[in-house]
Amino acid sequence: MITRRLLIPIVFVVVGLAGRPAAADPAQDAQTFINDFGHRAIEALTEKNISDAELIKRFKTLFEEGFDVSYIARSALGRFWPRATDDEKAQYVPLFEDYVVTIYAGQFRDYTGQGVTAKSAQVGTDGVIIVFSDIVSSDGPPTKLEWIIGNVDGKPKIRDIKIEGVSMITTYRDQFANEILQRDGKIAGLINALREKTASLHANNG
Amino acid sequence: MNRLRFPCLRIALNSGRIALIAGLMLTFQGCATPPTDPDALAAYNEANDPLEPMNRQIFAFNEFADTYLIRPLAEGYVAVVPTPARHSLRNFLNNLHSPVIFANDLLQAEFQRAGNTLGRMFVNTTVGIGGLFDVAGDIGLPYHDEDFGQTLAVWGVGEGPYLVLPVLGPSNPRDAVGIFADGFMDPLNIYLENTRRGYLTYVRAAIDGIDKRSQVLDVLDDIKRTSLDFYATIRSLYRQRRIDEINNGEPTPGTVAPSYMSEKDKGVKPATSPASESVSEKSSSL
Repeated sequence: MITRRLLIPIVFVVVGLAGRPAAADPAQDAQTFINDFGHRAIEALTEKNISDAELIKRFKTLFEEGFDVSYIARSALGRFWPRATDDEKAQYVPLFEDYVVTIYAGQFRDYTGQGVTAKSAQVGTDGVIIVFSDIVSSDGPPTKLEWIIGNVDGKPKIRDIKIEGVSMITTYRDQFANEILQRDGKIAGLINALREKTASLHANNG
Repeated sequence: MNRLRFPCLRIALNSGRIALIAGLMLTFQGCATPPTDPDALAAYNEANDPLEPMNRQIFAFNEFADTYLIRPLAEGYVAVVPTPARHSLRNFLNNLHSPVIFANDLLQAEFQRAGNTLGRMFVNTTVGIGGLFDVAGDIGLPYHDEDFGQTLAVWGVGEGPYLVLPVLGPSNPRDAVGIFADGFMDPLNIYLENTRRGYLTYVRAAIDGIDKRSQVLDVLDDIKRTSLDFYATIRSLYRQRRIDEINNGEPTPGTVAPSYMSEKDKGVKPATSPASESVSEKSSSL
């Protein structure tokens, strides 16, 4: 006869076994995704003696694989996205990607820090998962990093990064709105500004 | 009691002078003209920067002062003073600042953080030799900052319009009041004023400023190099950082930047403003 003392652990084991393979935990999946993606990114981008062009190429590949680029581009244009003409959208999206890739790739040029390790995750609104991680520095307190993970066709994709509370998308959206305001409310003005800025960043890199 | 009046008077005089300068600047600069287009107007209101022409002028002045004075000093400081010594000075300055942090912890009813600050002050002043070593940080009492601007925010005071202060940089009426209040409640400042060494308050503030600037040399260079408009980027970063600081760095669930995607674009409703922006949205003028 099974006593109560034995029954409770048995129930726990059975429930535990049954629960595990049935429903995949999206928060856990998102953490695994960030750990794996972060690891591969650091490996590819901090390789010694790669040229600037190669660094940008590698970053672009990773960016398109791991990030929801079209979502980020639209969100960065914010309220002005719906009113952009098809032609403006067609110009803006690749320009935006080029701008972001050029900036972020540059961050890895002399990167000697470590990879990213997910600490925890939670489900946010709109079905996104927020993954929390720290970048430990030898000089001062750790830097807090949050990854907002969405889902594109069943695959996890990064939608936004928040560094110490500063969101990548919000920062671009504020900048772009300002640029449009400074240029008589014209999206074409922003496109010109992006084109000029990216060209000058490329020139400085090369 | 009588002795305490001196710093009040001094600070009142100083703020009076600053108000006068600000008033003069306003008279010859004027305000920005809001756009008429509804989307542009919404973006204009979101920027919450009606004094932009004046702010940009002060920002330009600050950039000038930074290029020719503050940045070179910070660079020289990094070049000349070895890293451990710089860490010690930072620890020392942080420790001196503890009473103000402690007071603001209490005013925000953050009793655990207040205890943390008090413990740090005790451990670092004694074992850490007058605050030169952050022993408390090593034993699980990490440093956190707190100021009266944040306290006001916790009390529900809105930030008000964006404001660039001469030398001090990005701010708003709420945080500017906070800076004065913090200076006013600092026991060391009160002591110095009462012993007629008030100038040392400014010396300390200057050293603090150089130390802070020295920590962001590369970061600021990078932002300046890559942004479309340095002024607008700093405005955005300042706001976002303040909201994070006011929340004590706690992640606010569901904080995702609003997507603004139209329904036909992705078949989803545009996300409403996240909780992280609620602080700035509550804002009314002071």
